[in-house]
Amino acid sequence: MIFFVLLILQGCTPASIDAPADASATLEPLVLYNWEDDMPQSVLEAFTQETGIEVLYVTYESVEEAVANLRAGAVYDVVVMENRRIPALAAANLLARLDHRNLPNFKNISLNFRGLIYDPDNAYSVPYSWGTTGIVVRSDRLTEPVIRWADLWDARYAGHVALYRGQLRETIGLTLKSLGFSANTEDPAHLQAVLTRLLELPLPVHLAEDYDPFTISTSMIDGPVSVGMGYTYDVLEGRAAGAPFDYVLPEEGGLLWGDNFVIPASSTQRRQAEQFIDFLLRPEIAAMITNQNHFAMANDAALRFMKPEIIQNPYIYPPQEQMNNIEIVLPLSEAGEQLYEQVWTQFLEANARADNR
Amino acid sequence: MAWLSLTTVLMLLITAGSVGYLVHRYEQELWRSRLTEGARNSAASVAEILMRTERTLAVAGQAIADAPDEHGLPAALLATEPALVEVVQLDEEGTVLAAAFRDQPVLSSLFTLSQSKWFHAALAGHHYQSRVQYTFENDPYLILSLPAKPQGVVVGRIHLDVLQNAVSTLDLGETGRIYIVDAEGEVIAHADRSMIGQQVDYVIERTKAVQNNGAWSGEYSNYMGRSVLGAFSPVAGSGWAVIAEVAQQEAYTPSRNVTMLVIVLMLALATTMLKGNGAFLKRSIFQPLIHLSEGALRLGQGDLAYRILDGRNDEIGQITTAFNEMAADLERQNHAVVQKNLALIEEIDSHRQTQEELRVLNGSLEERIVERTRELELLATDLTRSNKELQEFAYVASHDLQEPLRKVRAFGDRLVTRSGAQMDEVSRDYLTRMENAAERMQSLIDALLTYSRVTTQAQPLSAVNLQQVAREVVSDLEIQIERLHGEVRIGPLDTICADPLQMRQLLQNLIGNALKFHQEDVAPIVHLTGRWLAPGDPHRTLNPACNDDVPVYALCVADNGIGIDAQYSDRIFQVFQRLHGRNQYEGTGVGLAICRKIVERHNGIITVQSTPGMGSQFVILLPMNIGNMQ
Repeated sequence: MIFFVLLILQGCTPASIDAPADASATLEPLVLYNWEDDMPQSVLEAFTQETGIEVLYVTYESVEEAVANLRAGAVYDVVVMENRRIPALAAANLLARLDHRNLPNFKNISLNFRGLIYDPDNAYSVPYSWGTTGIVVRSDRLTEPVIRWADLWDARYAGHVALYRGQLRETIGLTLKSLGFSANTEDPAHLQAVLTRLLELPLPVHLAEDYDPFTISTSMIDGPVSVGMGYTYDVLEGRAAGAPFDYVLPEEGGLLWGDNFVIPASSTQRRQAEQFIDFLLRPEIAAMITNQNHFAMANDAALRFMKPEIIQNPYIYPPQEQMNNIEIVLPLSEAGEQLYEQVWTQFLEANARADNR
Repeated sequence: MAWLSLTTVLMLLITAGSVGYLVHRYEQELWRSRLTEGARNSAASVAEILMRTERTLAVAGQAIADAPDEHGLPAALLATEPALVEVVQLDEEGTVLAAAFRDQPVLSSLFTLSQSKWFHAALAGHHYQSRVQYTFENDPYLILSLPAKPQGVVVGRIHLDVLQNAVSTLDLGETGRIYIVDAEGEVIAHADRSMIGQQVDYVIERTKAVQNNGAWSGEYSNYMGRSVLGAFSPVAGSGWAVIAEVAQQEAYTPSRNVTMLVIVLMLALATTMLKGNGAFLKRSIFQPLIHLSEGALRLGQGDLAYRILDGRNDEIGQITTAFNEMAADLERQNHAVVQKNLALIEEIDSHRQTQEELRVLNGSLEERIVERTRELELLATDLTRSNKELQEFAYVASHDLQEPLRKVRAFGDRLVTRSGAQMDEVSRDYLTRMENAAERMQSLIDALLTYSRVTTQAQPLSAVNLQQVAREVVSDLEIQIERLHGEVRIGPLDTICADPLQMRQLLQNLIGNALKFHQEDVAPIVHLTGRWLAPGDPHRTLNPACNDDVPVYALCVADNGIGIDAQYSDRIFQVFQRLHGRNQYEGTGVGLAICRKIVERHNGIITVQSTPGMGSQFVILLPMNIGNMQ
């Protein structure tokens, strides 16, 4: 006890303030900032074993949270980031330019994900996982198969449709596509058409909250919902719970989401961060990740190391013909954001009114 | 006689050396022109391939307008242009109108096609050429896209094997090689295929330079560290360069051999001649040799018009003739170089003019920078405002969230009361989880509210007796302290000018944390100290905002708790950052963020020093008499 008191008394004179704590600057751990449960520990351990560099896996629960922390200047070395957020982060000088000479395994990246307009030269981002946004159904509760986004308007499903309250870009995007427009349009006429269309839904629809990724599947397992906007992992979740779930990419066109590796400008170990990313791009390593998290990987060379049941799973790797007219959700201009917000607010209000009746 | 023989030998050596030097220069010139020629020809043929491909694609682009229903065209074009392996016609939405491929459908089967860079570049009216891409099987290819008429895009994939042919057909001796690099120094074609895709940094600058200045040749050390003689030639319109190289070792072997041979021959000649008459020697051998050596030197110095006059028919006559021929050859070559140079000088002149114009432009640019700075200042003001709005938003949002949440909790309670008894175990579990989640949400909202209140509900600054505030905080925490058998030692602390409520909150959070994160089975001891740091005190430099004339108050809260790993010492001050699971220590992860916000509002800084397992100490530096408070 005396020892502690001494320590405190000594420690508290400001003389101890200036002791810098960077004795071993060489092998500091890399900080990976990613969704929870996304990357298997075994992959990180393999990297540490090979290079001696430890990887600290820090998690976030929403993209908004991750973006906010990046903007607040938090220090990470490798961050998994949704493609839509990359232009703004790069414009704010929050991302480091990648040195592709340190990323020879970039050649494994699928041509589908190289040089897309959110980062045309892949100067800041290396594509990682991807998937689609479509419709999740309880097939046992349907009298006819749902194949189109427009089927959500079917009177038979009144009271049994679910949408995410916070995912306006996705909901509006799918509705835009069902009307024959781009999911990224900023044309006020197109958005007016979407609003009109949304108000024709048999209101009220069930609005799922966003904080838990499984809210739609939960309301479909136990609740009354039989058709909802959702993701392939909802199906895997529903089936794991023993419910006959199915996933449908709308015939009018679905949406594509994609995660990427980026290196924040705040990283002090960019060279090692690139080394880590290049390691994750190795075919067998990338396959290890997909084999565990069941998300499609933007890595062509990894396919032959994946479990056959993953590659053959049409929910994870949809067949080519279903991918026609699929679109990546891109950032909007400020005016565009406002238009979308207005449409969404009016829809939510109408839904709330219908709910109170 | 000894003097004579020494002079003879010396003179012969000088002659031999001069001849050797001359031959070397001649040979170097020859190699340089040969390499330059090779590089230039390859570059021309590569440029031709690119141009032809582009023209072919343009035909496909025109055809969309002329014959929109003609779907067989891509296949026909593919048949005529060997470089192309895929041609796709697209409408302005990115829908494939027609496509043909030689190996497999790559571009036409991309589901992200309409959002690719090449599609958008062509849609915007540009002729786009990608950097060299590699499939994971290391197959190099190139994408060319063009706008189609009246709308849409035509895109082609070029297999780089065709470039391979352009670099492997030249004979450049044993060590000679020819390869193509792009503007970033990446090898995109090489006779040795394993070199493709390699990065050779030393060529980047020169590749850039030849794009403007035309072909270059000279000596350098190449990617294998070998001394080579090489030539760079630009590939028109692509930013690439073709490089032809030969090892100096190989290039200069003949001249070395010739020099050796001349020396040996001359020495032999001298030995024979020395046995004869001195005067004869002077006239028939020395005189011509002196001429020869003089000539070689003048030539070497650049007087290419110099010729040796000698009509003799013997061996020396032959050497003289050979010499004169060599000189003539060299002069011809040189003439061509001079012509090129003249053209270059003209070009440089026109560049200089452009630079002059640029300088004028720069003047106006500076004005624009001043203007831009003004705009940026305005922007900064805007930013401050929007920051404020953001804080207000956080406040309003969390306020508005309270209401629905209260409902959730209220109805949850009612549900338990009404039908808790009838529920099965699973339902009860769900309900409990819901209530826990709602409760947690309540505390998160409360924390957010507190956080945003730091700026929205700030009080004016006044004198705050920290000693007294600390005592009050400790008495509030008394129950917790007693339960842990802990101890909080205060001071002595001074009176400073600050926001009284916020100082109280600051100390409450810090002392509260110090108690909460105590070590298992060790009673927590917290120690608060403070002192004024005079101007010049080295510890002040911790706070870069410190004005040197202003005293700074250093407040320290130290504990013997579990400590914090140094790598987290920044992160702990961010909102919702928790280092421990919720089950381990309760809390919302906002406490220290609030502390930082309070300290920053007082223009101060807060830092932490800690050793895991040995306790932590938080140090706060607050400058006195703070101006500009919000």
